[in-house]
Amino acid sequence: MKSLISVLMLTVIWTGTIAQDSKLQLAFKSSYAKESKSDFTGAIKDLKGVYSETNYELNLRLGWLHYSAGLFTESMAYYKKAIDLMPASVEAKFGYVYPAAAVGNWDQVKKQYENILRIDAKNSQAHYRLGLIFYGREEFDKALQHFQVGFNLYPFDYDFNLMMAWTSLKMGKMREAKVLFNKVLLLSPDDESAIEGLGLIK
Amino acid sequence: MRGALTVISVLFMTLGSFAQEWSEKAHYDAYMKGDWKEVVRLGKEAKKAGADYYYIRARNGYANFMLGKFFKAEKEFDKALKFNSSDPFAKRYSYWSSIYAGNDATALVKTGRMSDSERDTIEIIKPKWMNSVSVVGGYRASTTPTIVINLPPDPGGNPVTSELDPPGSMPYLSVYLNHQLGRRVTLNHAVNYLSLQRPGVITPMFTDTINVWQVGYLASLSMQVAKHTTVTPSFIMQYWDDETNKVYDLSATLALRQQIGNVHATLIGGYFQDTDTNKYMLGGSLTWYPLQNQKLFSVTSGGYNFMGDSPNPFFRQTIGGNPFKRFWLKSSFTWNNRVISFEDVGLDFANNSSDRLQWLWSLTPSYYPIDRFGISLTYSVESRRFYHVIQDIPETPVVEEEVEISELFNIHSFYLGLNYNF
Repeated sequence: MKSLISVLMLTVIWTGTIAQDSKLQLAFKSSYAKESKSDFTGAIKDLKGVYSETNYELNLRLGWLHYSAGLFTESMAYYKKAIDLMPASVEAKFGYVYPAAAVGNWDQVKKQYENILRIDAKNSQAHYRLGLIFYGREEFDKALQHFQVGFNLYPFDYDFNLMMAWTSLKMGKMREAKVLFNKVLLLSPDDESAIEGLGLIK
Repeated sequence: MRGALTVISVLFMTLGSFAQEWSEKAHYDAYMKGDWKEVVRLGKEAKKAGADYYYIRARNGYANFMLGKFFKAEKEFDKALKFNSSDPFAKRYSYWSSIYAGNDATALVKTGRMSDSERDTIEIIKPKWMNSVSVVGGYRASTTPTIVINLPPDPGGNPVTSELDPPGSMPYLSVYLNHQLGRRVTLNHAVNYLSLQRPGVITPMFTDTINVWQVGYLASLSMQVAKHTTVTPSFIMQYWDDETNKVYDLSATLALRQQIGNVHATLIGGYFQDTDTNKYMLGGSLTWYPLQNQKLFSVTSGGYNFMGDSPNPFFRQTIGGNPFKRFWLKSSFTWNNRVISFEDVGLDFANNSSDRLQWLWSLTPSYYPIDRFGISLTYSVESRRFYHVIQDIPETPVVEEEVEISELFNIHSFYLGLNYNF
């Protein structure tokens, strides 16, 4: 009798979980369909119907949909929850920087990239964007450090070559800048930025 | 009547419903249109809705700046910089807001966060060893021809009076120097000279006149310890010579000044020592800038409860307000490069000197005909009265009772000040 009750209980739990999964899948499916038609409010509504604060995927997607709908404060709040649920998640941190950058909170953006690099020290995207932030702040030595990491990983990448060239130029390293701008022209012949940079060296 | 009220209420409710609700777009649109009041209103709505980020603060800051509300602008830009500490726009306007709010010391600290190229884009204040020099000189004179003193009655109970000339011949001169030591520290120091004639021992037969001269030195170091907090230790030494007595007065004070929005609070404590007395003092003052703009109007009031009178303008002008009075009120009105300030000093309190200050007020219009050079005129009146002091322990400063023994007599002071900012 006792084992029969246990079997019945397990069956009920399992059936409940399947029902919950299928409800979530339907809500996600519907939200994708609405997002593709730029109906972000509808997509958000679908997910809010099945919302659970402890669900990483829901928080992550709601972060994105709120960002797409231009609701940046709410978007940051959902991404933050996703980060708290999965502290090692890099994708949630990359997600957070979208609304944070949109509202101009660049200190928070920088902090998230630094957090990403603590988890994934060679993440080229984080290095590239952090490099751009320091370049914009005219902290060229710090910018160069970040560009260099990505450049070593992808020595024939357009973005890293171009930014390494401009940073070198700003730091007065003309010989290095010239080599790098010429390399950019191999990647992108007639590249306006590289030609402009070379023009400043000559 | 009731119907009319209902119609008016409905009308107000309808009008109220037209007020736009907060959204990022509405805030941005109002900002782009230059509708500064709407930007500020929507900014408040945003905060109520829990939205707080760089662009809201930066737009609010700029809107307040354009509306001339520099204290609020300063606060908003400071918050904006917490979200984006490297933003050149917020840094620049945060600096200008501090300048226009009259917080030059704070502005100077803010330049430390700017890059060289950002500093080059605006004309910032640069720390100078020799910041300014001021010379203040003038004369104090009494308009009362003679003062009648009611002395204690003779043994027969007959009233005894004495007549004496009021204090006279009182030239005054002081020189102030202001040095900027880096971005956070300012050194003020000054020397002064004062000469006066005061009555000696009052007798029915004859009252002699004593010539007194005094020199003083003040050093005051103002340190900006946080963005809106200044700590100022000061040291004052004065030497008095009245032909028979030579007295050194020493004062050491520590002032803490904190800006909280459009209110500046100052707390001052210190120690005073002369030949006979060792006294501690503590007090405070509040300066209020009601129009959100220091350049227009300010009111300062405060109170202390120690020590004797000190009509010497060296003290009053240097420390700001009068640290030796129970209460004072000072207001200042600025219009372009003209400033008029009025100071009203409350009642003095008793000490063991024979003539005491009762009240004092002063009016100081000043004018900067050219950018760096300022002229100020001070006219002040102090009213004094003679007292007969009965001491419960003879030859000590402990006062048992004081009796008024003369009418009030007035002393008028005229000072000319010249100020040059390097």
